[in-house]
Amino acid sequence: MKKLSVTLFAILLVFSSFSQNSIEEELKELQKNAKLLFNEGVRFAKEGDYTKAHLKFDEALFIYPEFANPYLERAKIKILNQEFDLAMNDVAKAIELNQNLGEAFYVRGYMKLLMKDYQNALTDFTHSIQKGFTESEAYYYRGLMNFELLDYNSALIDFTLAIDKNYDFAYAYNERASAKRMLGDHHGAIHDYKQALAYDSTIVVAYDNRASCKIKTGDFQGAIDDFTKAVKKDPEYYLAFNNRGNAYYQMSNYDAALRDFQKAIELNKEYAPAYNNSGITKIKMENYLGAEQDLDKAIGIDPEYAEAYMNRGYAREFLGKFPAACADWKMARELGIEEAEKYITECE
Amino acid sequence: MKIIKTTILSLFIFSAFTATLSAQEDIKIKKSDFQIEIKEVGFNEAWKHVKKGEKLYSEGLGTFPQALEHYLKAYKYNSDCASLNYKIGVCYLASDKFYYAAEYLEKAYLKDNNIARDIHYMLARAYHFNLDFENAIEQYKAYYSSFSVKELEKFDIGVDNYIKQCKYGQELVNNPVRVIINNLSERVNSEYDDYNPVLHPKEDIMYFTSRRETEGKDRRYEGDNKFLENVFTSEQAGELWRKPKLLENKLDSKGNESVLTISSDGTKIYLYNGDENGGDILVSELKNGNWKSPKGISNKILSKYKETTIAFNNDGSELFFVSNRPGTIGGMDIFYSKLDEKSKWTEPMNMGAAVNTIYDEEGVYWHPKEDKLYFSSQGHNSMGGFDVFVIERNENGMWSNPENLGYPINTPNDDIFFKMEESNKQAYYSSVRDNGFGGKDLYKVIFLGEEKELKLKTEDIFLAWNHKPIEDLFYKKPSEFKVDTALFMAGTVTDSKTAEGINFAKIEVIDLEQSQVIATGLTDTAGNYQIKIPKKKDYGIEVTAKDYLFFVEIAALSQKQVVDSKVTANFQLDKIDVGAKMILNNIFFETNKATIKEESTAELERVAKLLKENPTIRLEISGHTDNVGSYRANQKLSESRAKSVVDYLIEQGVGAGRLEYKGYSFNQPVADNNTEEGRAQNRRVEFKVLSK
Repeated sequence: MKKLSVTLFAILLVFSSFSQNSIEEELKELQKNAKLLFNEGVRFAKEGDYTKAHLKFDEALFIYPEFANPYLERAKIKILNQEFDLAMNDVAKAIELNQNLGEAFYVRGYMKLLMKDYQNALTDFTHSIQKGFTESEAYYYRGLMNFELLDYNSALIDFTLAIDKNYDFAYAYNERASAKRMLGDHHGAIHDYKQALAYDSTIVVAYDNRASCKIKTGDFQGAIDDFTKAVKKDPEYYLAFNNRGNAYYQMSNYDAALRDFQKAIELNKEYAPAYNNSGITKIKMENYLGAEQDLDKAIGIDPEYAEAYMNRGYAREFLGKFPAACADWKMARELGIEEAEKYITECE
Repeated sequence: MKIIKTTILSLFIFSAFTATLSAQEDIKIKKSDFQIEIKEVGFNEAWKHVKKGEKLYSEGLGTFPQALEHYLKAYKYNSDCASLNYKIGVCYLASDKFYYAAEYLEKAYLKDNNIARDIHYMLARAYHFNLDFENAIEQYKAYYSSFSVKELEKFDIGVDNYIKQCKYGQELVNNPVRVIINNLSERVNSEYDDYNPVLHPKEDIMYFTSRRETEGKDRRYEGDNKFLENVFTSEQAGELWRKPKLLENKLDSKGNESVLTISSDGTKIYLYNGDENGGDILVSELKNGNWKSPKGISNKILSKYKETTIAFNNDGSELFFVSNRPGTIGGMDIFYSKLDEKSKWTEPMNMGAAVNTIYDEEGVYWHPKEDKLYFSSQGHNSMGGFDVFVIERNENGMWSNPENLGYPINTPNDDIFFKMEESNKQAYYSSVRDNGFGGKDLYKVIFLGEEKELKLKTEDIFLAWNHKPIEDLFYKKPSEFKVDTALFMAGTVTDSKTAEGINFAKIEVIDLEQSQVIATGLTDTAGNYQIKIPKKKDYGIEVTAKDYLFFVEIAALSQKQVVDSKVTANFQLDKIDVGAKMILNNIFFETNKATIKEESTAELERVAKLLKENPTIRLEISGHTDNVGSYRANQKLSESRAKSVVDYLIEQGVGAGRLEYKGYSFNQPVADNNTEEGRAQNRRVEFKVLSK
């Protein structure tokens, strides 16, 4: 009896061992086949056929659902298709399956960037780099996050790292220029904007930004030339019209300034600053009633537009509407403009 | 040519205009200068206008507006007549449209440098009024230069003060005060002089003086040919003032009159009356809702000279008035009096040279709450005509120096009768401005606070990505995985008796579908081998080794497990020893015949190769059958088939002496003849090693 038991145990053991090996082998075979399907998807993706690529990634996950990479690639395609919720599910699954998949953190960071969750996006981009995803874009996006979080020094470093990895990364030059500008290095910024335009002359925002820097350096005519280039390249670029108007305003060319502000309003009827600027230009032109009307519109669009309240107070003061002017200055004070305090004192 | 300060009965007749025109020459427009020889058409009509204009012009300031209308009609006929341009320029200069004057005066001068002795003076005044101070100074100097030394000794032409005014003007205009100056509108102001607003302290009523044409009041003042002064009232309606009404009660007189001030309790009203004693200040008291007939104020204050405006301090214990009585520093001066312990007015005292100047002061007004006295003066740092000044008394009773209220409250014209409200936020006064409706007008001054910075808004899109994101900038193209798709057949080749590994055994893998060798491998010293095969399927396997019989079989790899990319196939080889046997499984014959089929070639060649590689061995080729049929028939068939194999090998070059053949019928079965499978196995050809 004892002998029989031993024999049976041995048989079971052999069978069990065989069974385990068989499952592992089967798994490896599945993994291999999933990888082969994934590779087919990759080839489609490289050709830009994201639909077929998506299907192949689906197939890969069907036969091997624990495969992180197809989730990641599928998430990327979904982002391109603007299916953000689905993309977020996929990228979360990719990270769950493979904590070392650096690009998955990068993609999740990108999605958080789109959601304006800058702090968590910054963390994800940092993770992606730490986990070996050191593409120039990872540094670029981390730079964007640092910029948005007002850490301009870190942003500057990240954009520089992005440029080091990709010397003709025009966007990175523009963003680095903006970081320099925030740090007060206007001449350095102008140089970087120039580089950005040298590598990609379609970045019209670089003309606008360079123009603003030129104003800071006192080069008003150079600024107007750049703003003009911006609006020629993009005739719908209402911000550039608004900014050129500001340059004209500062040069006391109020007619030209007003034309530009009106153009900005024509292009974007909801753009409150253009109404504000049009209003103060009319104040300069002693058209106080017109100014008040423009500032009414600016405040109508943005009821928390503190500067517009300040300016409308000014227009109303000239119209002799003192209680209304005082009410505007009080509102401006409530909205954070401290210098309104002394105007309120005048009211009292 | 001296500027004459005439004692006049009107409260306010001496003005920047009259100052200008007191120097003006009444040149005549000559027909010969006006008529254009080649242009008969229109001349007669135009000349009539010239003559009418000339008549009205000669009558004085009061009819200058009418004169101007005719001159402008005549101008249509001949716009190049120097004297006509001069006259039009002068008329404009005397009006609230003074800013047109320079254009005509310049033309007059251009056409005739000697058009009038005072052309430079008129040009200077025109530039002065237009705030063109540099050109004004130049013209004043030119005017001065046009006089001989003797003339200058004889006349005071007064340009020094004008030049000073221009210089003050430059300074004041460059540092404007922040005010809004609103005309009280055409509803209140007329095309004539309207001035001296006085607000009732209790009611929303404004009294003011006007020289407008009024029904039943068509008397003109001989000094300037304007209508006499009359008092009007206007009621306030919100921000607006209603249409004025003529004051027709006991306060009204037949001559020039003006309301000066009203007591803070509203029970006393002070008036100027030009008919009284050279111009006196009267007072009327309110009784039962009606003003009583005005009477002169204290004899201490009044004189046979002119007393015009008056102001009381807030508790009524002090008064300030303007008079040209003896003791003036020059022209109209401000005098001061206070109540003594017996509540009698003290002897008036001149306010002194710090306040009064050799020029006129006028329009005193006491601030309703503060110790401040407002007045207008042609002296001090006036920029021209009367400017409004203020003096403030400190705690020690000392007066500050007069402070010019600044541009744009003050102008080169007359700015006067300034009345500041208690809040210091607004004031009323009279001025001559380019938005007036004729002559002096009433204005409301709104004082703005300190200069406020306008908030310009510049916005940039700092990050290019935010402006126009490249949607696939984030997208990094993926990379393929390296997938090892290779499959190996591996195992050992061992000696069938000793189980030792055979070194250098050769394994050939034959694709059965293509009938060709697709892979070959050799064993290592331990007899292990590994051969890469394209896929997992059944292959033919041939294993050969020196001193061993070859081995051939179909390896059913498709049925095997793949472990680490390997399928295992182990082979055992029999050593070539005497008596060793080998079944040749792959030799096929036609049914019941000894004819070898084509597909047997490979197996036969292997046997031939074995014999060639081992040239000393001798083989017996034997045939075997199943037990179907007779022994004899099977014996014959088995022997025939063995012989066919031997014949083939001999054909392949094997020596006949090395081969024997024999038929064994069904005597040596290897399997059960009761089954088809067993019978198939029993139908076979073997060889046996006879010697080596």
